[in-house]
Amino acid sequence: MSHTTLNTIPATTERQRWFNFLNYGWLILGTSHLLVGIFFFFAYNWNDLGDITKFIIVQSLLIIGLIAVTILNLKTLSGKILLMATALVIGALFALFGQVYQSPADSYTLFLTWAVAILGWVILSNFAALWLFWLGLLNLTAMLYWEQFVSNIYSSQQSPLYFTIVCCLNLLAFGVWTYLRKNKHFAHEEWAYTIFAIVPIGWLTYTAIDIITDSQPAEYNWWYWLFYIIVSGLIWFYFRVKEFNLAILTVVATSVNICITAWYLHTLFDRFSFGTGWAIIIGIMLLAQSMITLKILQEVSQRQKNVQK
Amino acid sequence: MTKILNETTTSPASTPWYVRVLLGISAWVSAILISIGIFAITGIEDSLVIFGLVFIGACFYLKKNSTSVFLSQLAFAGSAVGQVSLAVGIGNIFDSMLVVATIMLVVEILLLLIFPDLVHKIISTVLAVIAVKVILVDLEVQYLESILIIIANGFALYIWNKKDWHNEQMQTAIRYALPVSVFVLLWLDFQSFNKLGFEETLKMIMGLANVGLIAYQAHNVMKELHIDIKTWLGVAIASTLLILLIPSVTVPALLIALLYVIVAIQYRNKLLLGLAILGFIISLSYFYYSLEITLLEKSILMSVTGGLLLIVRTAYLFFRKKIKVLL
Repeated sequence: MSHTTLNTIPATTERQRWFNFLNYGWLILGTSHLLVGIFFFFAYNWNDLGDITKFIIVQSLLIIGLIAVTILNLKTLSGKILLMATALVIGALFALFGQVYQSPADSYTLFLTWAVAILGWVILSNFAALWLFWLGLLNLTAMLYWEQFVSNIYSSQQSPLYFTIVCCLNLLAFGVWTYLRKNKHFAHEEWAYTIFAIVPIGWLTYTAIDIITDSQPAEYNWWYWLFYIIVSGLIWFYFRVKEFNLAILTVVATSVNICITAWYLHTLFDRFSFGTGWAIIIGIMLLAQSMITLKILQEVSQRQKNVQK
Repeated sequence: MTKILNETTTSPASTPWYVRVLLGISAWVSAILISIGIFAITGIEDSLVIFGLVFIGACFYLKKNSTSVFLSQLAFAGSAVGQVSLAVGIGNIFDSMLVVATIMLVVEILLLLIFPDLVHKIISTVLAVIAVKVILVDLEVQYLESILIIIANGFALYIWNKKDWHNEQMQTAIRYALPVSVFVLLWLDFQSFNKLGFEETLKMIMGLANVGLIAYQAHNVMKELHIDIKTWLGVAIASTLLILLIPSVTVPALLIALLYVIVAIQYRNKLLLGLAILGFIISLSYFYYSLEITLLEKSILMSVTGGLLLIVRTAYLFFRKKIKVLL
């Protein structure tokens, strides 16, 4: 084996780049293949394993994960990613518990317990992806709670109220995130921030469509439209004037467009005999909406640029 | 009309990507709805070919004469609607998949040459390759697809390695379109090597040809970096390629993904790297869900591949430290 060629070559950025690629490639591919191979091995024999063995496997993964997180430290990205993986194992452990003991509890309790169990880790991690995952768990709990519990007790006319409460909880999370981001030098990831904004606006839009398509009595609606206008207006004002963010303004504009489209589509279907010829009118309406939205966003963006100059 | 719209909108470059995506979706939905409306009002289902050609022509004109981001998206969407109408119309007239695929192949090549839009060119290239696949299937010679894949990969590599090309937009389009086409072809026809017939032999040849292309590209990179194959690093790279052949026996698309990962790193191209990694992940998913091998066989294949890769890494890092070199 000749070493001379390597020894005589000076170090270069290009070589370092290739070395990084090889090094990470070996590590990522090697580890992922090995882990998946081990998972497949257990999956192949899963039905033949006893309950105790199954618990030992999942709990061992949990302990190994936690030891590795302690060694790697939560200040490193690897440590944070590993903590997130360990948080997923917690969910697997709860699911296994439900499977083995055939619990009669509704499935929303699984996600709620999971969210509560990992809350401490989420706070400690200061990791945007884990926070988003936690928020996802809470929203999933809320949806399942509605499906499995609330909708059986209350009428569908009360669904806007329930979804508005869920929307408010998400708005609260978004507000806290905005405050921490601004005042505590925390949670700087722009992509995560945009997702935090999309979730409450998404609920706002979902509830609006629910109201439009369910044709509920006016007394149930006016307060929601008032709420919709106030919340959208406040978000628009804040991200237009206080802390300019075109991505979030685009999300608000899209929400308004979806509501308008849902309204005229529902009206067309509900009050007129809908023929395929209407498609041309709807197509033109969509073109007009898109052009108006683009024009507004461009003007807002241009004004911001002029202010910055 | 075009003039007014151009005044209200700006060029694609100055518009953020998320706004362009939203406009794109809106333009696509509008174009489809307007076409359905025109069909319903005028009853031109019998003249779909003419409608398709007129739509493509109008969108070509629109794209060529506008700088607006929204009109670009609308022209693109309209052209796609026109192409679908044309294909359906030809199908209604001739009732032959072979004729539809052959005419669409010619149309796509023509659009690739003249339509002044990068994404449109990429999609035209992919559709042209799919049209060739349909022709091969219709002629009952689909096993020749292996040769089509070798040619597409070889040509893609040639275009990536070629420095000067008379048409830069065309070169960029083909650079991305051919890798995407190859993945699409392989995923459309996902089969393993566990039978030994003429078709399987051709697939084996395709696999070997792809290994040859990877070896060629890896050799180019090593030559650029002055790395001798007889060094520890040369051996480590060669071993890695050999190890990755293990899962590739079941999923040939893994080899193609590996080829484009190398090209992407070599040319510092993040988009191609993203495509190749996506191709790698989707191909691995095919492997996971393949019903032709048992979970235990998959487990052994994956564990052995992973274990060997980690051994190569450890061995290389050990020797690298020992001989004190950077790479």
